[in-house]
Amino acid sequence: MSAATLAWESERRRGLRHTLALSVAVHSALLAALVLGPGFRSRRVLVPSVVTVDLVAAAPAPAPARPAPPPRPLPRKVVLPARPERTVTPPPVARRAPPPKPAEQDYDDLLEKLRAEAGEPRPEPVDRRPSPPPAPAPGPAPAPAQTLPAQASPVGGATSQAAPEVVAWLRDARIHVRREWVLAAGFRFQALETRVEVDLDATGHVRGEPRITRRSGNPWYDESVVRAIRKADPLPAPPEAGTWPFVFRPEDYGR
Amino acid sequence: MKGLRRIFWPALLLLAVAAGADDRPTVVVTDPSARAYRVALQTFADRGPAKDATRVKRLREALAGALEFSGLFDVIDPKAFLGPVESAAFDERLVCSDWSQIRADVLVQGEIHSVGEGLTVEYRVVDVARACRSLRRHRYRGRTRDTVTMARRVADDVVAAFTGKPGVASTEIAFVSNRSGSPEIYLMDALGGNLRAITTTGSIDQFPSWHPDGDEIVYTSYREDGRPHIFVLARVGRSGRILRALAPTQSQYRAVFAPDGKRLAVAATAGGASEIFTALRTGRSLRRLTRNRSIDISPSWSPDGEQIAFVSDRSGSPQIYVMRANGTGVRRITFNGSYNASPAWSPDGRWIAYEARVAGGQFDIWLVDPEGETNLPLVSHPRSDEGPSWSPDGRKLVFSSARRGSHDLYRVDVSGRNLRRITRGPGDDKSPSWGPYPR
Repeated sequence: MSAATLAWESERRRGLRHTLALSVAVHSALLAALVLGPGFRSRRVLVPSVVTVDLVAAAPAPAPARPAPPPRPLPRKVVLPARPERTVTPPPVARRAPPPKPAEQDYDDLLEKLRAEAGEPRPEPVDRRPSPPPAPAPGPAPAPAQTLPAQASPVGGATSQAAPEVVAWLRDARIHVRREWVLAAGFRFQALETRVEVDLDATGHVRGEPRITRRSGNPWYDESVVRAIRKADPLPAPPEAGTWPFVFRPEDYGR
Repeated sequence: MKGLRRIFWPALLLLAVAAGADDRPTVVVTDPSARAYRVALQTFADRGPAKDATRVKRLREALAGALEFSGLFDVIDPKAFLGPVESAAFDERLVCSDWSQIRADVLVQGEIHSVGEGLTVEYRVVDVARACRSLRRHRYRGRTRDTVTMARRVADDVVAAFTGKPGVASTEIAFVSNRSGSPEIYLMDALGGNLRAITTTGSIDQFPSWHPDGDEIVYTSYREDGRPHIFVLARVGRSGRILRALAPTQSQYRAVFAPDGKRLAVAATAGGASEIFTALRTGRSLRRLTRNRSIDISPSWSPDGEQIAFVSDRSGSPQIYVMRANGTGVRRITFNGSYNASPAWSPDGRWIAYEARVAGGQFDIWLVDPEGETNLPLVSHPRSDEGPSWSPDGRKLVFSSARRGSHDLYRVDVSGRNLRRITRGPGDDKSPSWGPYPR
């Protein structure tokens, strides 16, 4: 092998090494871009940590040809002071003037009067926040249009593994007891929770007194819970006789 | 060892029961029914020497009305009773099934005893749903002319037996009405009856606010020199006395008593702009809390007296702000809409009710928590709802509304239910202020 050939071979190997290094570098860069880039992240499938069971779906399956049902309406009051998340629909900005009012009691006029006394022109109203969404529909009953946190299943415990007849009974028991649960207006917006165990015979009759396992801190609220169970006696016949846990909350606000 | 053996098996049994319940899924009950407790109200037996069927009937009607006013009770028609319509003696055995079979939740029994002008009313509340156990028994003594008042006290007690807090049927509401021509201060019972004017100045009287003990009302009147000044009206007084100690301010637009009754928060002009002040209830020791070129008005105390909510247009539009009672720590709590006014802090401190101008130009009543984090509508109507004021139990609000043309007063539960109109008649009824519990 001549010296020229050796030099060429050495040059060729050096070139190969450079090509190989370049190739590794380019592939590494592509792989890194693929793994760390936004496109990859956006394709990630988010798996919810909690799988909830829709009790409505536990009913007999609907005919496949039917169109999809409209979305379920949101529960009425969902934002509670105990869960201070800013999930609020604001009253929208009104650009029109309010209806005329008697001058002597009108707040507008009072403010105007004060401005005039102070020798100040009235500034145009400025809202420094983003435009709010539309107003709630007018009517005597409040209809908050607020965004909900993810809703918990209406039944708790090991429902996802429960047999269909158990799920159906949980639903029936919930509806039956709820119908007998009366609560004073002042309790409704409070984050109260009472847990109670109820001993049921095979026909749904309550045996003995319901046993409160976790008090809400408000004895009158706890009393309303026990009263509801006593009033609901007999409940729908459970899948099996024994002790069944119940939890009572004033509003379903997504716990 | 013997002792250990004695507790071993019961403990094991308890563990087994607990484990059994834990294995089962929980029934989650939310969103209670909209129904009220069904109350069987027996006619109170007249045990006095001189029986008066009219008084018994009046007491029953007043008690039934006050129970339904609470929003917590529906009174069952006595025609549906299986048990006796008239109360038996309290020590007589009660047949609980008579009441549970008509699906009563509550039984109210009672008797009255009158001698001359004296009247005694005794009652008992029975929890039918809890095996007819007695919840409360009490006796009131008064005069025969207080029959209705005593019936309302009984109703408020029945509410307390189920909620821990008395009802508000015995309270009063002050408000402004121009039904006689000029705006004057009026009083009425919380149920809407017994309406009467307590000022007749012929001037403009506005913004009544109760002293916490219910003995005085502070209000604004233009009768002195054509400018607004603060007057204090004793419950049994006539036209009220001016708080002259507030004179360093040019005009005083509104005053409200602090929860301790010793201080006032006052909206008054100083240096050309309306500012918030505090003063002793005599008007002395005036202390300025806000200082700017904007309009600061409509103060409302927090129930602990530590903070004051008020309206300010310092951001360019009227919004609700909260500050400490010494004027420091001012923070805005409403950010939505161009006009939020008339804050009213709830007795439990959890909410501030206010009027918010919404799309369409009308005002609705909204609730916001004192941190400004939760904001929700309470009542809405295409015509304006304004000037909310809380009942002393914090379960109801009264407000004025133009939903029937002229302004009338309405009440509503804090849940948004049981909306009722409570004033009728000519003119506009506005600026309600719900009085405290009677002493």
